[in-house]
Amino acid sequence: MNRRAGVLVPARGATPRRTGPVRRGCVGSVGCLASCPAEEGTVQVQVERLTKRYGDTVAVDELSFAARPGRVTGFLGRNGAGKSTTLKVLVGLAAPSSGSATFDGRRYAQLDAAPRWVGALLEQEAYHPARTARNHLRMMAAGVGIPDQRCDEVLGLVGMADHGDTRVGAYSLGMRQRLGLACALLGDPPVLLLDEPGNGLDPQGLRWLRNLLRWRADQGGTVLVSSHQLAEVQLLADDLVVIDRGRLVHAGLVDELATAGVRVRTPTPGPLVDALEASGAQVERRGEHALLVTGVDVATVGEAAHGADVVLHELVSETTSLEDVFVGMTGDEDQEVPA
Amino acid sequence: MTRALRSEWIALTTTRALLGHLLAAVVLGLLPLLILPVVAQQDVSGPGVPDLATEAGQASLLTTASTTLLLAAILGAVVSTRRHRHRTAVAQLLVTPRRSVAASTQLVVLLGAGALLGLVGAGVSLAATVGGLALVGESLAVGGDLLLRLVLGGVAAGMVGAALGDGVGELLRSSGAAIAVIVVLLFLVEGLVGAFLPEVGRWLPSTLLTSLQLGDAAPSPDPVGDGPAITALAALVVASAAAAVMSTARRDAL
Repeated sequence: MNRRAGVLVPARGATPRRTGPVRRGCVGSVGCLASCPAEEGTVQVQVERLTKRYGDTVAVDELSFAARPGRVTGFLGRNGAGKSTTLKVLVGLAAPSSGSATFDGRRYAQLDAAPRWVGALLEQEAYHPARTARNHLRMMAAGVGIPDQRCDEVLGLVGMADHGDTRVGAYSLGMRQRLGLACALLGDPPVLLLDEPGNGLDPQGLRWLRNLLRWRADQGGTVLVSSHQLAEVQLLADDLVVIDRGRLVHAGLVDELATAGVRVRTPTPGPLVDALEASGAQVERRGEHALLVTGVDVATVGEAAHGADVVLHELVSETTSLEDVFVGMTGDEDQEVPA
Repeated sequence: MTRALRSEWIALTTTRALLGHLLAAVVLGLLPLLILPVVAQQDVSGPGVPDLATEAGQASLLTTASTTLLLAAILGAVVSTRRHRHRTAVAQLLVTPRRSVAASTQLVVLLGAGALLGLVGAGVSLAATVGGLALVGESLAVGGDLLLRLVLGGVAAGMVGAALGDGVGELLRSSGAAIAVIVVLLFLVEGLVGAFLPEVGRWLPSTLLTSLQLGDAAPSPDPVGDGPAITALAALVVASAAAAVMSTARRDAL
């Protein structure tokens, strides 16, 4: 990594910050050029005390979180919670009122050939209707010195190889979404910022997207996905950032959030309760022989039972849906069913 | 910068905006073919009727400054405002995130498109005039120096118009409003000022460009001269560019 007049320049052999696994390969062969930063390391997305105001309206309020390399981070919030605004500030489309949104400490505008570092899907309708998909991609590719051949590759990658010469105005929502994903993947970047990428995709498309993002993260990429499709996020994301009215509500592992506790059935709950409470767990009695244990994982409960010489008839990690957790965190006002 | 310019050129040439305006320039350039047979039958002493036997008379038919200025301004306004309407500014700024560079490359490409528009307009107008003169039994009486002025003046009109349109478009971010402002400025305001305040009117862009194109053959009774005209037009381009760059740099794209 070289500094050139304050600009982050990817250089051969340079390593931005290896905070995750090193990528073993790229999605497209032609996109993997000599200076492709994706081959050189991984990049962390960092949002620190970010505030964005539009007049008197505070869209994002002192928001801080990180999206780590090698992880898929789900970015959740209700409509108008500030997710899209945060992503727009990250890529410089909107200026922050205060705070920062950076990639390894650099603003998007400071990245040399930025689409090689960060691929973004932010708007579903951001295409000239009279322009073909291939020409839209060519326009973007030319701006960062990516060969035209890569445009055909990413069109093929998103299943649009036969529609590259069709004007975007004739596209369905799903096709536009796929084109947006092609744009994001054009520079084969180590970071993907995707705002509602599943919108308009059919079930096969959703599965393909899930596999693609999982694969990118497994290769060391940083994937930040905003979505309302909570079941999809629960399947896909490793980490979760939940915001409400521009403020951070939760940041942590999906598994932590979606685990309601450990369900235990034993004929002798007394000694087990004592052992668990001594280890710091919270125990809720559910009938004569059943317990719900929170604050510790299933292995700890099993070991406590073994240590107390207690027979177990059931030991299950009880999960809850992300939707329930999400609604619990952000409230369900304004969601009344009409009479 | 070179990559950004190439990206902008692809953006400009992969929609119908430039082609449509070039076609309009061709159609307007062909007007002498329609006008010449009518003029040939008129009394040459009548007001506003060019004498087809003289260099000045023929040059007045070859003047493309006003139409090119208007066409190029509309092109600049359409190109700059449609980026916001269709949100293609998102792709532009993702590729070229530094706003001043993005706005500058857009302006440079529009200046090139405006120059092309002026060149095509002047070329077609010249060809149509030569053809029209042949139809009425006259030959071209315009000298080489004046022909060069007509072509270069047309190119300048295209560049000034494109910059003006870009500036107004970026400030207003609405095609309808930008085109309305341009038409009012270039037709209504310039016409009224020229009629009622001729001392001021001779410094307005259409009049300056016409005097640049025609030189001594200009209809204006007191043209400002080439040097002051070029300086004033350059100032207009710089002001328009500054408006476009500042608007792009200071406002959120979405």
